[in-house]
Amino acid sequence: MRHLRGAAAVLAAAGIAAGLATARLRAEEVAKTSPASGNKAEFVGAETCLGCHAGHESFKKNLHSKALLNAKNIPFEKSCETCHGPGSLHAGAGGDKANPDFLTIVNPSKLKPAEGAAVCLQCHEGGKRMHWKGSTHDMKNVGCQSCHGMHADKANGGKSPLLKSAKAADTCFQCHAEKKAQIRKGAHMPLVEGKMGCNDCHNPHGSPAEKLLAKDSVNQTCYQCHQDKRGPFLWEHAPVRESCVTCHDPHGSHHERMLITRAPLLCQRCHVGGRHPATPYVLSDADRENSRIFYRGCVNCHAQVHGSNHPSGKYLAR
Amino acid sequence: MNGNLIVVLAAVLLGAPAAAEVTQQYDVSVQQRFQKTRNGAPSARAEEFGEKPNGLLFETYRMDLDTDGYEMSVEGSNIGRNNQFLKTEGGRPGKFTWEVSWDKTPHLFSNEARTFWKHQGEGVMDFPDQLQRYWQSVDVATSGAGSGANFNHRASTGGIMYATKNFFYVPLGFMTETGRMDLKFHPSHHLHVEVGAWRQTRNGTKPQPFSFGFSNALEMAAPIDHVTHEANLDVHYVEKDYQLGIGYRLSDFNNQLPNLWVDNPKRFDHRAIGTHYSAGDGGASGILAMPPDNEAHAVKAEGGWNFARDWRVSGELGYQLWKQKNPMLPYTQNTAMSNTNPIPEGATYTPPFVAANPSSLPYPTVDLNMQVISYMGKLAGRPFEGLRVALAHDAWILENKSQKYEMPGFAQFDQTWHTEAVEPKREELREDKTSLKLDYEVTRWLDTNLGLAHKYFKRTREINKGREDEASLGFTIRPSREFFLNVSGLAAFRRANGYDFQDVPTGVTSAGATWFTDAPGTRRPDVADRNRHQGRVQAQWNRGDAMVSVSGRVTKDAYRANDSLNGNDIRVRSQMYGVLSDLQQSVATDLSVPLCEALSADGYYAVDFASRRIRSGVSNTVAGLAVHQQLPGNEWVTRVIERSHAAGIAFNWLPLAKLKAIVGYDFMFTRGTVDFVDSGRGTAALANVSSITPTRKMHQSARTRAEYKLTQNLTLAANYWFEKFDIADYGFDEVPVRDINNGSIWLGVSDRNYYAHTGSLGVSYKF
Repeated sequence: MRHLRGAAAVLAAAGIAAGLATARLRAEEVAKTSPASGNKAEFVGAETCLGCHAGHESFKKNLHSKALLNAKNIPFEKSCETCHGPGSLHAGAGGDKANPDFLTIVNPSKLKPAEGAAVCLQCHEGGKRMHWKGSTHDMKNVGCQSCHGMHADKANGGKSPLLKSAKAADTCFQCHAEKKAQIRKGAHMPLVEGKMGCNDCHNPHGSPAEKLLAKDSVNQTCYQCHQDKRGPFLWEHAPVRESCVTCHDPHGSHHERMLITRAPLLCQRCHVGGRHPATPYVLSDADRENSRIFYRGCVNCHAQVHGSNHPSGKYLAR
Repeated sequence: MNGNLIVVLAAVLLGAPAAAEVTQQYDVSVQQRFQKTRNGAPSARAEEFGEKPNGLLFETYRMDLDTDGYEMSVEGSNIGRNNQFLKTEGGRPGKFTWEVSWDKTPHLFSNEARTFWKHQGEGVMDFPDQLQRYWQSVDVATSGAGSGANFNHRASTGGIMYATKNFFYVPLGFMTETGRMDLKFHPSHHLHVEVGAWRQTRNGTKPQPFSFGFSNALEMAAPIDHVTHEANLDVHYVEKDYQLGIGYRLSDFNNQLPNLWVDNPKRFDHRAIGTHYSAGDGGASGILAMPPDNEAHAVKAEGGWNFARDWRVSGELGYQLWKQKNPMLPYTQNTAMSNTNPIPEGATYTPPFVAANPSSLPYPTVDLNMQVISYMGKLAGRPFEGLRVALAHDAWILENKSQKYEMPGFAQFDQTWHTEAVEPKREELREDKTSLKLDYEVTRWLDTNLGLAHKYFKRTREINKGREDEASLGFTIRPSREFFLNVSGLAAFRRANGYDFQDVPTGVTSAGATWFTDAPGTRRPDVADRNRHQGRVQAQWNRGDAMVSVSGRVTKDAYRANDSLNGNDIRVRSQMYGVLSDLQQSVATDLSVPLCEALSADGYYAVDFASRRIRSGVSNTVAGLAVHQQLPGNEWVTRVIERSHAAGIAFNWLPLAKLKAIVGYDFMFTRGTVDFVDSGRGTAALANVSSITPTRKMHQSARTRAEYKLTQNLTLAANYWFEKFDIADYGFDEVPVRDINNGSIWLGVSDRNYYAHTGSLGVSYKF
């Protein structure tokens, strides 16, 4: 409770400070007025936009244009300016980039990531984007346009989720290149085989958990597929209950079952003491298949390391 | 699959007008694969997550139906194969959408598993009585029943020959089939509802270890028959300035084979003995508790409110219930373990009841109940232009509401009764984190990030409280829209004062000395004091279709102890054991570059290095002391090093409008070493320690593909793919079915080198 009270106090203080703050940036507030003439920009319609931006003709089949009509009753004619703002001044500049009116259009991809995201969040600030603001990606200046191509001419044919890359994982690998290598290690989940994606475990749009996990903890994320490991068990193995990544590296490993190192060393990280847990097992020609180092090491006998439901399962061997 | 039928069905389902725009595409190929595996045994690794057959293959099918406002698609991949995926989705985006899918994903472990245990149904794993009787007779003849000597039937050539004849091949792998339905609809444009249901079955076998005694590892092909049902309901109310959401999720896991009843290959009839652990010849059979049926319920409520000017507060409150209720298994199947059949070693080895009788159990069921309460609150905003702030607090509280179980003892290896009151620990955990993140735009091209976090842990373990303080500083340099450079560093200090020495489990040796199952100086890496330093650099350049990204990361963990390592017991050595340090470094690059109008290249390269040092120590009985003692001469440090290199390059060439060619090569190499350093060499075991043979894995694949667009609708494709896998691993190389030195029985599953050439000719037809 002490921590809860502290956090509540800090949150409240910050809220008061926020109330005093003045700056606010909204897409609809950006560049609506001509710096030269002071005229206000007005809506001109999509056909005018496509007059110059013919390359975006495919937007007619884009998820956005369909959803805008169905969800908000915004016809295609008004779709461009829903995000880009009224375009009369921009259109009036006739492509002259030196004309200040040319810059009165909102182009989210040219805004700073947080400002660009504000345009998208006008409609998308619910569901999985509920916690975007202040999330790891947001605070590290990753914006919606870093991953999504709203017009999606090249990606998945204008269909959800409008990613820039044809494969979702490739979008993540732009920045997380080391993971692209890791998923190819000897023991890996079927990401390379296309049976899983990064977003099966992570919510890149922000989440209450660390590492942008889709669930509230590491274990809950793993239990999505490994429900058999959820238990509860009569005999629990404490580190297993607390976090699967104590022993496994879910992105891929040199070792079988994606273990971070192999048994018996894996177990000897924690079990040092009497009798066999702390014996320096080595290989010898005469004893190559010593069951404490060969094959699965300790797990050759302690088969139920994830927990046992057996009344004689104290040592997780039943 | 009849595509026209699907179109008609779709039109009926959607009431689509006849003018609906429909496109379909079939990809069909004829494939021939030649694979060679070391020693001729078929390699499972090549087909771990999907078969690679020869002959006619239906690669993909896709149909898109599009009308004004309605859309529907049907897609399938690897159709008819064991890794097929089928999906249909559609609806009116923004109003409602639905999705139905069915996925098959195999996980093949081996094609060469051999065993003599046969699953007779209901989890009964047995083998011919004749075989069991024969081995027992060899045992009695050579060592005498209950003599205490190691069971040495393994020295009997005849016994091994006899056993080998009874091994038969079993498939080792399971199939996961998942069917799911999701419906999203928007009764109004503020209200979003998502309903989903999901059913997954997992059937097959997996390698399952078991043991009837020390150094008597046994391995079976254990049957798997799991069924899981899940359902979810999520409702979101979305306004421009506030959003609310509630959700419920049910997960019901059912294991059709919750227990395995395993025959002991070394014993035909039960006997109870107090020693003889290394023989593994006490009980004639044993029970293994497999994952029990369980269910989980989760509810959550979340919301966010945009207030003031560019500020937002959001939060989530969640509650989960994980529970199971299943009959408690008997202590053992060994009917010889009873008060009417005392064994000579002593009273503690004789249970006060018939241990195999379920009525001897203090509880009829295992009725467990865990609850998780989680919450998060976050305030994020912009106090003034250029500065963004996020302040958050979250908590994850696992409470164990299970009843207290207490047993008067337990059966060890189904042969020996241990009279020792045991009480399974009810694990609990609480984690709180308060964090503050700041992002300040110093100039248009420079941002700086500052992060501060405080974590607090509470557990029911040897360390029951801990905290971690973390600070990070980073810079983002963005001189143009096309380039950015991120540099960041983090320092985190975890402290877990108050290692509970009394919580270290102890046992009593036959000589009456106390021994510690874990040395008091052990500091476990998931809870121990730790100083972490981390640095990261990332640079990325984008222009048009070109992208080059380079990143590097270093994480250095140093583990330490700042409290008593011997519990102030001078008989116990004050030394820290466990992980001492951990170092991880990686550098990676990813690029996609158009080289000229007709040629582009994609590539990546990553290298990582990890080094870990672990200190261990053998404990010895010391004359005159009532405890097992850790001695300096009995300690050693293990250094574990792993390196990996991964690289890939692919060229996409479009020499003609109708011709496209792709050439690619991928490479992955990993190597692990284990060295013993700083050994005191004070015991016989330590005197001879030497480095363990390094382990290596290397996978290479080269692919070429050429596509020629014969007509607007017809494309021909030719593929050639070469794949090579090499492994050197002492633990998984040439695994025998019988280990003649130790008496272990394995499935004989080895990870094998292989190479394969695959060629295919395909047709893609679009209409």
